[in-house]
Amino acid sequence: MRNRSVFLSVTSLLLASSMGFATAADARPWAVDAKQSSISFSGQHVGKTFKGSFTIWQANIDFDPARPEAAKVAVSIDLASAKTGDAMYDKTLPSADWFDIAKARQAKFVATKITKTGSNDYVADGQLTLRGKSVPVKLPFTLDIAGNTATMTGRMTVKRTAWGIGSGSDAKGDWVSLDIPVQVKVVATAK
Amino acid sequence: MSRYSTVAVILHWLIALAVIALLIAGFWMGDAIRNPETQALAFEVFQLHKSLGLTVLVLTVVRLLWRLGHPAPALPDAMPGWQKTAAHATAWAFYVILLVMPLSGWVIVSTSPFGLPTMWFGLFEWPHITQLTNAASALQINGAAEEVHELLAFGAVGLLFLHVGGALKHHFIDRDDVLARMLPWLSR
Repeated sequence: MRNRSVFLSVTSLLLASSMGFATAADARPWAVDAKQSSISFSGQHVGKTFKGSFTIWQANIDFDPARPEAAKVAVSIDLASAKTGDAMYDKTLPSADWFDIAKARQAKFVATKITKTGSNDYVADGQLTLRGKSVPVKLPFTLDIAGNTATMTGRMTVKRTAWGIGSGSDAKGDWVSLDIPVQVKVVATAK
Repeated sequence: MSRYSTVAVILHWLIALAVIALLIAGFWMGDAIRNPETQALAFEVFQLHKSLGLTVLVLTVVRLLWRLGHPAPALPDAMPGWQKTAAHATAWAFYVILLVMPLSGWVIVSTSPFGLPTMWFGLFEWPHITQLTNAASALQINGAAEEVHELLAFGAVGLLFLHVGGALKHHFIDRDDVLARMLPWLSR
């Protein structure tokens, strides 16, 4: 009798989710297509623009456009995977004054609130943790959903010294700009 | 033996060209890196300066080792003793500068607060002296090495004038073969 009721509730849950009914715990999970997705950054060094991206990161995305307030987004970025195409930058970034990967190799972004601001426009408020420091950030993004595929593009500018990045050698931005634009593109399919 | 060996001649002129380029770049880039208009170029020049300076260090070590087995040709008998002494002193002062300049530069990049790696012409990483990088007094060492590097730069310019002046005097006034020892096709 007891076994039977457990069986029934599990089946009904499976049925419900396979039929597309969203449950309270599961807003809508998405699987990131790493090949089409990217997290990149840029800035100025001695007046010249540099561009780079993180080649290793992962994201857990639970997001239903109909209920953005219930979204759960957590991104983990391997700071050691930052590549700029310039060996000098790539060897400097992991060092103690910059990303300090010996202390904390992963950067984490956790969305605390996602707000709809237009038909395809949203703003994700969240905490970005780097070098052991959590700083609130706002990531405005657009979202296009076609069938089972969602394409999200977002852009925000962060101040590197908020996390103490490069504060030892260049706290004022005499060499490396304090403003670092970050671009995020995520292509994901509904799980 | 009335002239330097071909290897010594080639090393001399390679180092001579490098040193002149290093001095010009060195005197320019210190201010240029602080000027927003020339900063980007000066940064590149800094990287070239480091690569070229380390090349001079290697070439100078090779040159000194070569010299052990291939002594310098004798100076003309007609030269007064004090002139011979001055010529030898200038030459050895040059060797000291050719070693201490790049070594102090190596100390500077090893203790720089920027922590930029030294990429030899962008091809491979020249290691830093990590004992200095991690030293508690890295900043003081950095300042002292910069002083030495700058003072020796002026010393090098002074020696260069003495050295070139002496060579030209021998060639055009004394009309001997001293310059031809290093430039064999000038041999009379």
